[in-house]
Amino acid sequence: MNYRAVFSAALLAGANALAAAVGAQQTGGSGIVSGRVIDAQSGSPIAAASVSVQGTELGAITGTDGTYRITRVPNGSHTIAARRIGYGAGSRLVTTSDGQTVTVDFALQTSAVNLQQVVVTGTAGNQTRAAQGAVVSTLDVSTVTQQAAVSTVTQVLEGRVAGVNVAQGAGTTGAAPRITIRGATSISLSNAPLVFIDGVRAYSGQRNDVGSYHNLEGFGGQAVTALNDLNPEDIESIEIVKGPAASTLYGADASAGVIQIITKKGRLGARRFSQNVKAEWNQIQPNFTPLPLYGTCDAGTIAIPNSLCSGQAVGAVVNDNPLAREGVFKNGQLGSLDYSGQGGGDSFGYFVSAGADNETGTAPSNSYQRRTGRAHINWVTTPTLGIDANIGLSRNDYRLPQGDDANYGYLTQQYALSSVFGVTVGPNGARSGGLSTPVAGLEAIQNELTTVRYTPSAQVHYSPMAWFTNRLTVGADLSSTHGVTFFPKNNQNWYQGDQANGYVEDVQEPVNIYTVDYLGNIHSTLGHDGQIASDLSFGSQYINTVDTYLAGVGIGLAANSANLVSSAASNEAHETYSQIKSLGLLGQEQISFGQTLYLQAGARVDRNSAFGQAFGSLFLPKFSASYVVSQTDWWSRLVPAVSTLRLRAAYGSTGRSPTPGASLRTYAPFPYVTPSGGVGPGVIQASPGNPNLKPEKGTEFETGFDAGFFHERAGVEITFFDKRTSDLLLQQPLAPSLAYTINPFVNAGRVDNRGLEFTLHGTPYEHGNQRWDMALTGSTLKNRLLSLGNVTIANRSEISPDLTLRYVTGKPLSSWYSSKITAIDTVNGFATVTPTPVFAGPQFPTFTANLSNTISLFKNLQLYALVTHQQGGKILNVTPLYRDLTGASAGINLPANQGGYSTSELIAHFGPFKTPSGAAVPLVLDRYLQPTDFVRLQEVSAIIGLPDAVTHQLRAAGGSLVIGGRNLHLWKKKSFTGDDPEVLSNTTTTGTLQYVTTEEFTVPQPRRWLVRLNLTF
Amino acid sequence: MTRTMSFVAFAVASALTLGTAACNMDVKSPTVIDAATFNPNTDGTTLALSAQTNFFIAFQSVALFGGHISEEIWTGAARLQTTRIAARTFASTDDINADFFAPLSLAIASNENAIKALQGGSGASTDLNLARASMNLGFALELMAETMCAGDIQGGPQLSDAQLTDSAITRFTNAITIATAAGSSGSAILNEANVGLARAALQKGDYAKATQAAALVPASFVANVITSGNVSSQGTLGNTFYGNTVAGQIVSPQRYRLSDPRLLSDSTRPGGTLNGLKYVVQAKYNSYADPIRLASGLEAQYIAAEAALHSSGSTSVALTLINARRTAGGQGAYGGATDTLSVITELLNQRARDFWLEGKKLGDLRRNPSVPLASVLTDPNASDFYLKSKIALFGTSFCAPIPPQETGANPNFGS
Repeated sequence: MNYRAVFSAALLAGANALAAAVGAQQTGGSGIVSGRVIDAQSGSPIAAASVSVQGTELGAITGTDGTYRITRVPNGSHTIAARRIGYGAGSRLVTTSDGQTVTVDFALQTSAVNLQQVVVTGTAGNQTRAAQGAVVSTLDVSTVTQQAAVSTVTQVLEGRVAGVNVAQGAGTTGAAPRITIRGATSISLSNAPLVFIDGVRAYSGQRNDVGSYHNLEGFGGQAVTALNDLNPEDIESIEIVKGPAASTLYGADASAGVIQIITKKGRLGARRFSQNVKAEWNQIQPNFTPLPLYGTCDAGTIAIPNSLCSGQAVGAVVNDNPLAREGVFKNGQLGSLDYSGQGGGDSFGYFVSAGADNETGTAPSNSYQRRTGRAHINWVTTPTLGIDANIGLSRNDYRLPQGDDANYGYLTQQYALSSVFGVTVGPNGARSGGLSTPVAGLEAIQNELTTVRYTPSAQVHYSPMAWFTNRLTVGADLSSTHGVTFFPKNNQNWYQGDQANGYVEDVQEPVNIYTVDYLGNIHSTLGHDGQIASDLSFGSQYINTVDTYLAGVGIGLAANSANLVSSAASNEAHETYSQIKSLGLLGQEQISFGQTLYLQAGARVDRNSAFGQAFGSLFLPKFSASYVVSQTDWWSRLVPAVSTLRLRAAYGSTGRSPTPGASLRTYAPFPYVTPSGGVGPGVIQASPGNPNLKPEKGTEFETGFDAGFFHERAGVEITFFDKRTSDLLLQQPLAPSLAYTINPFVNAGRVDNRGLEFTLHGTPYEHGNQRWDMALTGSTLKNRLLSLGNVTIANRSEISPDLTLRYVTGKPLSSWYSSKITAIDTVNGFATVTPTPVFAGPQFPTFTANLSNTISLFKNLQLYALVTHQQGGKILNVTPLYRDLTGASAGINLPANQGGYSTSELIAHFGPFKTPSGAAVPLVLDRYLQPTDFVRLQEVSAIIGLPDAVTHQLRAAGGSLVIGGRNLHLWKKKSFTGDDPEVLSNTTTTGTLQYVTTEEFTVPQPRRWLVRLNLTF
Repeated sequence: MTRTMSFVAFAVASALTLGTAACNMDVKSPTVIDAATFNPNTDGTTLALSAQTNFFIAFQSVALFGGHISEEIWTGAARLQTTRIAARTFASTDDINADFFAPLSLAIASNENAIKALQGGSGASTDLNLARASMNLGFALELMAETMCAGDIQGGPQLSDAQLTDSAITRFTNAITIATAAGSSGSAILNEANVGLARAALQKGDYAKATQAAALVPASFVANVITSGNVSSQGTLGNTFYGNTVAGQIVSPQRYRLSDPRLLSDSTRPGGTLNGLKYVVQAKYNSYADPIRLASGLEAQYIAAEAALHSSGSTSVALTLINARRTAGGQGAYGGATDTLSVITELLNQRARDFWLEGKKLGDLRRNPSVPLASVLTDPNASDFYLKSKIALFGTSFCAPIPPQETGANPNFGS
């Protein structure tokens, strides 16, 4: 942070001091407000409910018994409000006087449509849901982590929020999924949402920058995500802003949405200390068996001594399964222990936690360890000033095998690089070998990554007057990653090329992000009855991101014990540095008419260093309206049937910035050769730049309604969205004669994403202790390329020139095109295909849905299940393709009646292919372009409340036992011939390569069984 | 809103605006070099040597893949694109851009840019960096003319091979002028540029100029494409023939597997096998650091001899050179026919041996279309096991076509 940023912060502080002087007149005595918050239906206490004195910084969080206590409430009349996710808000007007205690109890009604819930992400002024025209989804993570089989943040996000898609990368422990919200719309830039932790921008990118050189795939072809550095046990809730309509206040980088993680806090006013211990054990099952290798013996293979074909007749089919034979994939396990302590006094609260997870995956050389700690202190110094201080610590150690399409991946070895004829049969019939690199060689590869992360932050809430509130957030996300990839020297020819004689890569990558954020609000009422309220909000946000990457590569080692880069026969270094600063000034005016109509108009003016000083600022407007029809007088007669109805609409715009320096005309370092044959520091033309470069502009219109039925026992949220990205940042191909090595970015083209999101939730049955809650969420997505301007994106050919990924106007981005088989002539032995390749489908799903059910029985038993579903996308399934092409599949070796291809299937797979006019077509891969539709029984669990006798024995105040499972069953289409249609081997998150979805020797998602014990003291 | 509220709102808004305006958005981008921060006047040597390196890289790429076309090389790898190039059946999409056009264009553009940056300097008339850039630009343009038969300069209109050659002659002439003015320190560039000028003039058919320029070059003069054995740079700056020999992709055709010290091959070195047979690989270059001859007094002699044959039909100079080179190669005196075509054919065969794997044969073939191809090409033996021998169809094109990346993205190209 430079001196000007500090100066900026000082100015803000000055403004606050000014306001403090104005409010200094507020003096006098105070009283106490205390009480209990309970569930109106069951009468059971509600823990972790927020109770606040409106217009001040005073508040408290209820304990497990539902009680709260707020001291130093200034004498006079106050509104006390109580809130909890899943319940309608309660508020009471009280009068406090010197030293007196006022008891205020709340009985909160469960609410299917809770319009009084506060959302802090992307909102200013009146932060209740009722006031927001755009949807901000809230995920109650503390409940999810109690009841579901989840251990990472990405698992928490999966299948719970309409419009949020979590695409799995691989089934190896630690492997990262890709998250998109309302689909991808940028071709060149990342479509991953921004992540904030308690208002501080956090690094959330994928990490795979080790093992990237000399024909290696980058962390073995996989990636881990910084999002999973966090321990879900430390998270209270997650708010998800889905698109520009709601994320305008996050500025020129928020087009892909915003995920705000709100961590657990201290219990202000609790006056006691409570502790929670969670112990969990998972068994992780591979959930698949590698496909065996097949081969048909001929004279040549029969002649190979001690082979499977030795002594066999010509035409005999042999098979073996080296990976299964050697027991490569076996059960893994996860053990985790989490501790948290929470408490507070009259004016302060604190929360501390520590967690440890040890996980071993189903593949060898696959493990994950996470150590986390968090401390939070909140202190209300006076009724007008509150301070939150927070620090999160984490250390994550990943060890991943080579995977996906990496040459030394286990499945790559068996499916693409080995032959059944390489299996050796010993004198006793024992089989050995068969893989081009033996399992011992694959296991010996070290592929490790360690991340240490600190996330300190502080937030000051200052309300010098009831009408003037201020929030200043200062924080940082300081992470440091260290990765090592090591191929040991060996005398058994395990590895080829530069890895043959010992190879090491050592990578250090610190990523530091600093945030300074100020938001102020002036609330006033207009008119004689005060029914018209105004909230004028203003603020600024400064974010500085610095990413430094340094890698050393050593090739050729004298001894494995001396495996430093500098010990290698030859070594090289790679370094990159990137810094991005963004600064936004935001303002918003909100007018509310009673509790019925809310109108918002706001804007953010943004500057971003990626565009240089010449660009100036970006103006991002937003508008929204929310009309709570059910608050009108004339609605009262409908309340028994439709208790809540709200209509809403919002429009907003955001941006998306390219990498730093994209607008500049640049040279790149490129060594020149000196007259003596040495090298000198030379340059090469890089990019011609584009001084007129602008951010991609995302605009979104969304509209919909929320309705609650039958006294809030059922609720519906329907939202239609139309998210459009214009001024796409595309790389304009230049004529090679201009001799630039980087094609410059230009702003051209448009992409449109439309869809419908729905959330249906309710309580179909409730009687006494028995209750059934269900939620159905889902979304449709229609992704269309509207224009590429004057830029051409070349078709990308996959395996065969006939199969291409194309950017065609009116079609989804990077759609599959392939010749289609229209007829198969088994008599003459050929397949007729369309004259030209035709649209064969989108890559990404067009419909997703999730169904969860929670059944509570007998007070102490709760059953929970989550089913996820997606349909509409297609993936190139490379695994069966390679097995067919290398002759190792059952299909081409076995007779049709034993699982082999029939004559027509053989023709469909291998041709020959001809157009109706008889022209020959190269290999048509239509059969390997397979649907990714599935229904998955994702999570099942039983939560058993421990009887009092047991908890007393353990000296605990309460406890529960959870038995559950994850990924318990998968239903997929028969035409998908792999193990898991959800995994994709691609880890790329930017550029056109992010739009290449293939299943390429990827380990499918494992099945997990878990036992979890929760104890509260 | 009350007066107090208005005051507070104004104060905060002012503070925010001031703070925003004061904030410096400059960032460091050391991964790239902002062209605005690069001073060509103080970094003239860097520009000129960088541009020269681009030419060296382009030369090696064109010599390698052009060698496939002219059959100095066969490929031992199943790389269909290379095989199609080698069979002279290539289409414009067959890596022509990556193998020929893009590296040549980079060499042309970077030397052109270096010239633009340097020629305004106070010492430009004797600036050897400027002379070097002019000379390398001349060689690059001439190479494009010989290989592509057409081309363009930095997004300009299409130029014929004759226009490219004229441009090369201009650049060589500029280099000669500056090197001459620089005195003794410019002698190496002067000799090299004279060879370049003679080569371009010969290609153009200006035999008088070719003879005149060639006569100025000492017989012992040699200028090389410098290569680097530096481990981290050898992939781009190292001797590409050696690098591809290691990779098993350089095979010596039968014509060049002779007991001539100018044609060094090796059937015992590693480099891959096919069907149990060892490749016979080149052994002229034995490390990444081995230089490649670019221009020499010997080439000047060949140019003079060929110019005499073409201009007057005089065979005496050529026959003298042929016999001298046959002696150097361990052959007896030339005993063939002495008509002009026969002598040219023999001259080209000796020249091909002397300059094997030096990127000259493709130009020789284009310059002498009357020479029977069978006498200068090594059509594969049907019994040979190399991939090229399996190709049934051989084309006759010795010009690499302009790639679609250029014709599609350069709006001036068709004009």
